[in-house]
Amino acid sequence: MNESHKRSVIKSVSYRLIGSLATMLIVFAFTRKFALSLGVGIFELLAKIACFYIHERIWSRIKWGKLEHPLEDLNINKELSEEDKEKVKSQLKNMGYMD
Amino acid sequence: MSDKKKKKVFVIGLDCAAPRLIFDDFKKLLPNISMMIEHGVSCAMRSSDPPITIPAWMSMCSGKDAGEMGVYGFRTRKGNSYTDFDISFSHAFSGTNKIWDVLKQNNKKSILVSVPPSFPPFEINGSMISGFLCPDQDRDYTYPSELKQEIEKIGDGYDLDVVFRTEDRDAIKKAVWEMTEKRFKVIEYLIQNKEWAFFMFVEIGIDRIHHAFWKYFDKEHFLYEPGNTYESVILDYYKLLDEKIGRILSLLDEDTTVFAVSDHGVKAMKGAFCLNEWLIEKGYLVLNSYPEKPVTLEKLDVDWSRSRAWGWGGYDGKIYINKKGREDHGLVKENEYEALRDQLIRELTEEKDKDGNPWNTKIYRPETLYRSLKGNPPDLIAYFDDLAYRSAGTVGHKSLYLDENDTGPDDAMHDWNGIFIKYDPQHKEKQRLKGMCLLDFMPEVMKEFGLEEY
Repeated sequence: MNESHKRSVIKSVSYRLIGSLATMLIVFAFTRKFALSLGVGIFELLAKIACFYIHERIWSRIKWGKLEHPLEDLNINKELSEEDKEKVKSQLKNMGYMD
Repeated sequence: MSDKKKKKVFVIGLDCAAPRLIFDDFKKLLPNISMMIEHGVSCAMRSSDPPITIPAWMSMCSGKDAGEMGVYGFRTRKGNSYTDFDISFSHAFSGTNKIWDVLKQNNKKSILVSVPPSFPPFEINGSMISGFLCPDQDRDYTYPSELKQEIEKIGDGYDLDVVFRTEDRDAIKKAVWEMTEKRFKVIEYLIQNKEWAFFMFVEIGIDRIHHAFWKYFDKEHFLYEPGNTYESVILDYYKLLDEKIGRILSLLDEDTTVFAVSDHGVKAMKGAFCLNEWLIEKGYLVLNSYPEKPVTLEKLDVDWSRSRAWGWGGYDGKIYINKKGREDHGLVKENEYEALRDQLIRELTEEKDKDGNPWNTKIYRPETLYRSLKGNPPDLIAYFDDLAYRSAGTVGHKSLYLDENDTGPDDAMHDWNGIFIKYDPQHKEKQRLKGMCLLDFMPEVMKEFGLEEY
């Protein structure tokens, strides 16, 4: 998974702000009631932010159709630390592969 | 084609196994390997440039040279840094399609045992065990990770490598024998208990035994003493491997084609040539102060604003030019670059040994060795006296020549040719080939699976 939770949240909010603004304008165009348009818009905004976030996290778990990074298949339990790298360098020097 | 679909391939990787020993000197004493030679296809197989474990095994398994893979040895220069480098872990080859990647696409399972470099372990369609780049055995060194526990139970532990750069030869011998016993127990277990179409293992023990015992064995080595205690160690180890290979062959069925290959050969080490000392003496590398004791390039007080070239040591010598616009303090202009490379090639190939005997030194521009140049290639690659001398990058020796390796006890250098043997129980026919190189190996394996157009 290459998208953080924070990024998914921010994208959800920006998308919903635009969507809800459109909803409010449509409700207002049909009803000419400002308070009702605002209420529907706010309710829809909060409900759909939650829906989008859940939808996004579910899709991010589905590998189908995703372009994979060449290193994505690597089964590394944890990133090699600088200490690990120094240890290997020292081993390779001892083995004579480099000086 | 239909019988090829059923085919299995088993690869016996013998790091550093020498054609001279396998095909001539020891042949009659190794009944199982001899049987494969007598009933199969065999030849000396030209190694990679440079002829070192990394990149050689990956070249063999991908059909790509070091330039195409962008990996020129155990270390790869980090960007245009003067001293920083990355170790060529398994990540370095992730963008290269290897035998097991193609087989995965064809729904065939693979088992890899200690094929260098395989640390960190990576996901394959099958199982894999890492090799000697693993910093210590407490790490996860298998895929899947549960396999570690399984094999350590079978082999009574599993040794990824041995300490071989020590004067205690008895300890090295004991450790190599133990490592090999454990590895082959695991190999036999995996052959019988896991599903596979492709199985490849690499035994690093031959390389370690050669480096530690070559002067006791090779009558041409300048330190050889007839009748020494360790004279038969190398032969004894080849016999041990032959016995183990015999057991493996008895476990394989008639549908399995067996390859026995090595990544490079071995020859006596005559000494080391101090590449950076030479560059300093000739004025190409300028120091602020000369060290009191030998130090590596990283610890050297270099005046980069006045240096035109520097080098790395190893089995080969890598030379870098301080190029304007590329390196931070580069001073060699684009229009001076080729002339400087010419000059370095000319002067280095004229170098002789400390007694004035001529050398057969070869210096190459990387673009003439490789089909393409990815990553950060050196500006020149040097083989001193056709690999009889190592390149020493350390400075502080006050000499251009060292009788010993600058990094510890070592008797052997790598040689250009490894071995290639192909034994197909269904087509027993003796054939000796010529002119094969390790880039030809992957296509040979793919043919067995009917996947010529991979």
